Order: sequence, then C-alpha cells, then structure tokens
Amino acid sequence: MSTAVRIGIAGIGVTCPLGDSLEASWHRLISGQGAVGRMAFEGLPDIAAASIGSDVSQVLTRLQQVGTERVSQMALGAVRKALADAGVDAWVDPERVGLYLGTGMGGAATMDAGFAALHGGGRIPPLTVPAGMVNGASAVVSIHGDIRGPVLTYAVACASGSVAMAEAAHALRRGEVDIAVCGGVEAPLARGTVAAWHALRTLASPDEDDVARSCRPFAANRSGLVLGEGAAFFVLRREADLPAAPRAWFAGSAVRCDAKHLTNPQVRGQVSTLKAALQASGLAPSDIGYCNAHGTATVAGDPVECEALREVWGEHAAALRVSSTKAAHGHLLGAGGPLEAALTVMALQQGVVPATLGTAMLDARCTGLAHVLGEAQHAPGLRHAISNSFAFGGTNAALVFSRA
Amino acid sequence: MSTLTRLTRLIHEKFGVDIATIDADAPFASYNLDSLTVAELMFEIDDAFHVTVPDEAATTVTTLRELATLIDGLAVKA
Repeated sequence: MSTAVRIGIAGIGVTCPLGDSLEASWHRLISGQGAVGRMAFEGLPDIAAASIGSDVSQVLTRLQQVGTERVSQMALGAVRKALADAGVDAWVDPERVGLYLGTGMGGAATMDAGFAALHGGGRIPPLTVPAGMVNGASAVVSIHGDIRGPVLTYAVACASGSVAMAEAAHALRRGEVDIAVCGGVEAPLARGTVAAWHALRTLASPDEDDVARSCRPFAANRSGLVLGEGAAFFVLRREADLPAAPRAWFAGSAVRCDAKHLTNPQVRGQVSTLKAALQASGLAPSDIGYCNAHGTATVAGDPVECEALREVWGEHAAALRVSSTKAAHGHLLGAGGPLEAALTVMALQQGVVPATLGTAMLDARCTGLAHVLGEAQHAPGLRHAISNSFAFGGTNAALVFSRA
Repeated sequence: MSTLTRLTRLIHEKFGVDIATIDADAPFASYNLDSLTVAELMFEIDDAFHVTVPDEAATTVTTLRELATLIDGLAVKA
C-alpha cells in the first residue's frame, strides 16, 4: 500500500561528532575519517567514544541556559540548522507546527550529576528535574522555536529518533500539522551513564593501534559499540506545501516490536519491520540500492540484522549495498536513527554510498550482502535507500527514502 | 563589599545579566530572572555566602534588596 500524500524532506540540521553541519559531516565520512577518540572517566578504564568538540551551549545566552543542559542545547542547535536549511524562519500559525523528538536518556548528565551530589552528602541542584526530564529538550526547542502544536518526546532506546520521524510523517499525512520538525538527540557521555553501559559489557575496547577504528560493525574482530553524542533534525512537509524541491522524499516507514527479549534482537521482528517499511513505501526489495544498517558492532546484534536482511532481500541480498556509519560517528542511541537517515539522504543526493570504516574481514555470519568496506562507492543510479534502527526493548523502526 | 554589591556581581557572573539593568528595588522579573532562575540563584547563594537561605525565600523575596537584607540576618556557617 503506497501512501497517497508524499512527504518531502525540506531541511536537515546536524550537530554530531563528524561535524557541525550535514555537509561537513558527510564529507568527513566519505573521506574515511572517523570521529571516534579516547575518553577518560574517573573510576573507569578509558573508553572509545565519539564526542562533539565545539561548545554546544552557545545556542543560548547564559540566562537562557538556566534549567537546560547539553541534550537540550544540542537539540536546539540542530533544529535551528534544519529550519534554516528548509528556508523557514517564521510561521503564520505556530499551532500547525509539531515537534517529534526522540531521545533514549534525555538529560542523563544532569540526573547523573544531581544524584552524585546527593549520594556524596551534598545538595541536589534545584533545577535537576526540569533539566533532566526526558522531555526537557523538547520543551526547550518548543520555547525557543515557538512550536505550539503537538510537542512530543519518544523514548524508545536506540529507535527513539527513527520512531519520532515515522510518527511525524504520519501526523503530516493525517493533516494534524503543516510542518513537522522531527529527529533525535542524545548526550550520554557522562560518568554514570558511561559506567552503566560499561557494566552491560557492550562497549568496544579502544583499539590500541588506531582508536578511530575501535567500532568495527560486521567484522570478525568487532568488540562492541562505541557511544556517541549529538543531534539530527529534519523539517518535513507535505508535497503540496513544499516551497522548493526537497532534499529527498520520505517514502515510508514501519515500526514493529520483537516482544521477546530486553536486549537480544530477533530476526523475526526485524524481518517484519523491513517488509512492512517496504510495503508502506510501495517498493520491492530490488528497488532499494542502499541500506544504512543499525550495525552497532555488538557480537549479538550484527549477525541478526544481516540474517534479517538476507531473508527479506532473498535473491537480491547479494546486490544490496550495506554499511554502518556508526563506525565513524559512534552510536548516538536515540539520535542514531536521524543522523543515519540524514547521511542516507546525502547518499541519495550525491549518488555515493558511505563505507563501514574500520571493518576489514567480515564475520562469516554477516556475509551474503554487498557490504561497502574500505572506501565510499559511487552509486549514480541509487534511487531508494533504507535506514534501520533496532532498539533495546525490542522496538524496531525502518525508514525508507527516495531520491527527489 | 556590601551584600547587595556581591549579589549584583553574582547575578552578572552566573547569568550574564548586564549590571546596569539590575535595579535592587525592582522585581527580579524586571531584569528577566524568572522563578526557576531565582531558585538557582538561591542555591548559589548558599555556597557563595556560607548560609542556608530558607526554602520559602524563593517565593517571599521579590527584590534584590530584600534578599540582601535576608542574607545579612542569616547565621554564617562555619
């Protein structure tokens, strides 16, 4: 079933470890330069992580920063860039504008610092709740963006931002809003949060020879995921409302749940998600020229995703170009889906498919697909692409984009 | 340095408010300090002045001069 109303991507804004704009991030990605570095936290072994070097607080004055934190500031910065990219600087009816924001952990650093102060015998700061609450970033964006329609926050772990984008497109199709600002943000690089991820034994160990190659999705020698931080936002509009040609079309999406295990992904749920996303887009597997995989580089996750792709693509699997850009920008959790969707849109616009950096020899369980390794590939005929986000908790989201 | 001067400087340093706009007898809101910002200010004052500002001050005190008077009447912690 193809949806009647076409949804166009009017603008994209990015603040991520690869750069402060989508174009800068893209060029760094396809030049093969990853953003993973070494980070130290008290009481923990050094970790590999992808952080943002610039001062993200600059989007607000010091007075405006009261009650905000890194996650809100990154979100606001990326939303402003997306609106500028879309050529939108004001709207007639703010109640017809919606915000659909995904974040797995919200103001985790604020909660971490507040509880650390309290448990250490000190006082918890008075604005810990508003700065740390999961919808804090949405609130800050709505206030400074004058967004007065639905302002919604989706906490669906690593699928948060992709689910938010899927919901935003549905809201446009239903006619609930005229402009949908959507995407994700995550700021997990705080001591307590990093320690919790480390305790789960999912983090990659820093590569001693080249720390930038610590995240190796689909590789036989992968050792886990690398946390990243950042924000990526889209401005979506119905075709009839687009003032200019869109960057790409948001062809369709699907959200399904494994309903099986807290952390172990399941082939069954991913297959049903991928099939439903293709159906919603009115496309067949052979139409898709590139898959930006979830590809976290965990031992458990990568083979399951590859098996699901092989099952859905069948005889076309060997021709499906697949890469995980997480190798370059890390796992941005709730912001991962939107950032990867943004890079997928760039792949469509440029006719170039990014490689999975750092991966040389594939795990035998990840083969049977056209993995893009080493260098970015020219793909001038690329017309449709899919971006996967498979979350802890079992929720899966797949987004399909088409060249404009 | 008077308590009032120290408070004025604290607000300037912490929140970036232009000192010239701070009227000690005008409501906090007149120089854009909302209720959350005042709560944050009270928290900072405890550390800066080594006092414990009572919780109700965040709602009962409305100007900087009132706040300075309140602080001058509080016991300084060792």
